[in-house]
Amino acid sequence: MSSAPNVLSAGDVSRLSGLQLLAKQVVEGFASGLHRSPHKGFSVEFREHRPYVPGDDLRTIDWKLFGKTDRLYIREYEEETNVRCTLLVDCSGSMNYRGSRSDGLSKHDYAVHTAACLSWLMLQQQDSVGLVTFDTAIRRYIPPRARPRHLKHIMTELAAQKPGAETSLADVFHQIASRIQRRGLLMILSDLFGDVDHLMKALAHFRHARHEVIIFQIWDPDELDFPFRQWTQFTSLENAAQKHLVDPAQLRKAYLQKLQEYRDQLSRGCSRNRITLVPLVTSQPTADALAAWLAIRRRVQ
Amino acid sequence: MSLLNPLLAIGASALLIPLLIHIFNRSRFRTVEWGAMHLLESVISQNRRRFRVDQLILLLIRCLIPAMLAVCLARPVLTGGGLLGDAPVALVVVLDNSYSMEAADPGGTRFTAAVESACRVIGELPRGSQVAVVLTGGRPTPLFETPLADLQTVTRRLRQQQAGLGASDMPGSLELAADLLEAMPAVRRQILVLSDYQPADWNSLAGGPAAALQKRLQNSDIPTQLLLLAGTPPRPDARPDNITVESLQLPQQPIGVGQEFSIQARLKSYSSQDLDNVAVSLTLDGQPISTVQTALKSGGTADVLFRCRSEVAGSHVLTVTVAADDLLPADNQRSAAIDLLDTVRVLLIDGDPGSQPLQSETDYLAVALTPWTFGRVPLTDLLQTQVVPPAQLTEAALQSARVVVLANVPKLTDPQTEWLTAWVKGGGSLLIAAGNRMDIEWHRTKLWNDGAGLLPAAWGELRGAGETAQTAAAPPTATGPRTARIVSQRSEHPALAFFNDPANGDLSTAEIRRWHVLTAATVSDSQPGTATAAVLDSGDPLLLERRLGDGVVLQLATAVDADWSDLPLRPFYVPLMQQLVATLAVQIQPPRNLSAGTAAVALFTPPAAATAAGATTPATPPATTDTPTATDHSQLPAVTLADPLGTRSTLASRVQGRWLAAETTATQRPGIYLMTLPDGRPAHFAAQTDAAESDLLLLDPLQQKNVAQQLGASLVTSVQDYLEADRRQRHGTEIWPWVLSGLLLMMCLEVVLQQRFAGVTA
Repeated sequence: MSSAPNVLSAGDVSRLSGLQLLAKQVVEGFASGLHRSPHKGFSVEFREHRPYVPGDDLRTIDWKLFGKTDRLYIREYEEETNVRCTLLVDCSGSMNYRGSRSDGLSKHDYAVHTAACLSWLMLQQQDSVGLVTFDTAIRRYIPPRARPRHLKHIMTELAAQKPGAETSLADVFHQIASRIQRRGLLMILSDLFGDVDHLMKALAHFRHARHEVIIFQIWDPDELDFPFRQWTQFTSLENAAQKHLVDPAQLRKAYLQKLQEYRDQLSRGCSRNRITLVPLVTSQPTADALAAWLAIRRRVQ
Repeated sequence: MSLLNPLLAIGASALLIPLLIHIFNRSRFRTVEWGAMHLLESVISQNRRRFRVDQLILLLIRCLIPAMLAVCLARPVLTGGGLLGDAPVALVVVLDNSYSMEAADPGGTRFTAAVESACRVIGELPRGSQVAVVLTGGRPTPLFETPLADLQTVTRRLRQQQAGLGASDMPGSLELAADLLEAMPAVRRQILVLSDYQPADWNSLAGGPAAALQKRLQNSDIPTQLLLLAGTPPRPDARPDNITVESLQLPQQPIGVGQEFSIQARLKSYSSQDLDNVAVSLTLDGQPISTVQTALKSGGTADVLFRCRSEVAGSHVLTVTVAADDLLPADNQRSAAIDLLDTVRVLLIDGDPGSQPLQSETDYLAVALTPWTFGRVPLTDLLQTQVVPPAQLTEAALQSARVVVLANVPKLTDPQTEWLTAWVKGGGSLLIAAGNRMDIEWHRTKLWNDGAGLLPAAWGELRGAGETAQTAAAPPTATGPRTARIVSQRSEHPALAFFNDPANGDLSTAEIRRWHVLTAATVSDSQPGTATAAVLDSGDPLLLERRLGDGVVLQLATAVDADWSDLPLRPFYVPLMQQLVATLAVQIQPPRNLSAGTAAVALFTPPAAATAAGATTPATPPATTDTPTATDHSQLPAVTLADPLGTRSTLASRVQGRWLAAETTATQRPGIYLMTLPDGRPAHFAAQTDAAESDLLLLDPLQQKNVAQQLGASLVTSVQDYLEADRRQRHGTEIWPWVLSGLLLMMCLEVVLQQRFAGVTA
């Protein structure tokens, strides 16, 4: 895509090209896709032979095999469906944090990059991909489409986003849940900073709507290990008036403890709701992290 | 508190450094736009106050560290008010060098220990200090004429001192020390007393003298510090064992060569055990004579008798030694000097010579005085007689005789009388006996001369029957007793004291038939030095003694032969005459056994060359003399003196009558002093000391404290303690080690606290 903004590099493409994103949950679709469906219908892919039982559809009998073995077998095909995947990209102010170890990438840049990779992957699999960008409210909603030039659309939109404003994830998720009617795969790219309980309620709403939710939590390494030494004035990215001049050495241990509690809370909540929580650290190359995760997911499947 | 290096305390301003660093850090902050504010904020808001407190504590500790380091380097010193620093000290060391300080302690004698302590203290004195030393043994004497500032000399002289003098006079010594101190200018004054604290020496200080001394020391313009260096505590509940020869008794009568005499030694035990078989030995001039074993009870005394004789005339030293291994070996022996008389030349002037044996007036006397010679027994006589008639009395004969007996002499020529008078006044002894040939008139005018002559009393009337054929010239008196006897009474006269013991003879058995009355009126005119030696039972004196100049005159109321009495026929005649004459011969000699500190005088005859030179006028005037009276002195021979330590010195002699005398008063140290007379003869003097020093019992620590309290003195237990206390007083205690440990503690604390504060919980 020569006209697409540089959110997707050749390296990423080559890295991801051999992979598939497979939905864990059964998602129905009427167009052929790369996903298995328990519905056995006519499809391109052959799956297996099954002995004929009276009552089966005669059109599915494999006559060639009958000629060979003189027994009646039914051909079963993979019915491919496609998944309606929606990318939810957080564009709030906290995503703008740029650490020193992330090759100059802010969290938002990383999220965008990841979103680009995912959307490409989806479209390769002939799944439909949509995009929702939000901060305190939905900024832009692009409904899922499977056409290849949809990728460019998504990329453009991603590139144009500038993070800012505060975060209130719970409200936005409620809004999004009401906006997306048909169930599909939701991939949230956010740092999830906010009140965990409200967030969990909103995610439960998604689950209630029978979406499959995968959360990619974007972390900066600085946020994870708090390496500051000298006196620092921490200014909030979301609220410029919030400033604290502290000696980080005094805070560090407490901060890390707090962080751990927060993460534990999140992971508990997510596992309760059967939501996959994937932490991504901006110091890791996007494609690598994604590839690793996809591989694991495929094995588990 | 003060600082020894105050400049370094300026380094305490380095405490500003952590402060500045802190401020610097705070000002140079990084701004970070942070995303996870929700996590951070809760931590901050909960612990804001604690952060501030922790910050402050750490800042404080960090500031303290350089400040403490600076203070530590500045060496702070705690002073108890009024630092004296190295101000010069005037110190008087009162050193007890009495006899008992010779007692052995583990590691030398008490005296060497005391000297070492004194030298240590002196060695630590600041520059410019003056030291005087008072030695307390015998009589308190200062060691130096003026207090010395040259401390090296002081310690050197101190180490040369030896103990062994007599008992210490503590009050006198302390008074002398106070006197010396007043003459020494200094900011600080101290008296340091080193003693072994014998009760005998210190009990005289209790009460009045101590209070007076304390007042004196306190009232002086500069307060004087009196320090008593504590003595070694004695062994508990026992006197230290010591055996001593307490006294020696020599015979009072003069002893001649070849005569056996006895010495009585008294031993005293200050021991806690009874001792059998204590060996006591006698030596004469270093040669052992005899050894006796005796038993000695604990705390008791024992008397031992020795007999001795010598064939050599002159001065001898007798030493009695008890073999005992005790703490004070110096008192295990005692010495006495004895002068064995060479033959005494007696000049008998016979006024009534006869040709028959025993007819002369002096025949009996001559026999009595030299029994061995007459008996042709090979023993030496103490006395050697020469009989001359009055006409042959020459001055030369007089000069060579020690005793002259005028027996029944009618008269003498005037020159003879003059020579005789001069001789007696010069130290001769004269015995004048009565007789029938006496020219009473001449005696009265010349010899009596109304008391200005030689006679103690004028010849009074003749008494007694006295009738024998020879005495027809003297008419018998009508009245009065016909015979008289000597009253036998206890006599203190040295000649007659021999007869106080009745075993030696009874004087009253003699019958005196005729005698002159030595009239009471004349005797009671109290010529100075006249005494009655023996009395007759008629009330008349028999023997009168008169001191004239340096000599003595004895007047016998009766005759020395058998004409007027039967004295010569009595067995006691020989000892009586011997005693009389011998006493006369030696009376004039000053005693050879004296107590330490008294003058030792030796009389000797001038050597012949000197008398010849002294008699005639010197032909050439003597060279190096300033005063005219020194003319004679330059001719006088010198006498060498050796004291008990062996130090030699020279004494000048002086003229005393017809003798020359050499005198010394430096007899403080007990022991034997040897004077070597110009003719080479030795004269020994035994200086004795008080035996109370031999009691080695010491004051125990409680008593020492009492004494110290009475004197207002401080009792110091050891030289080390004293030096430390003195150093502390002068310089104060340094506290930098404490500050340093505090500093290290602070550094550890800072590290620990920093770790702990970083672990603040959320």
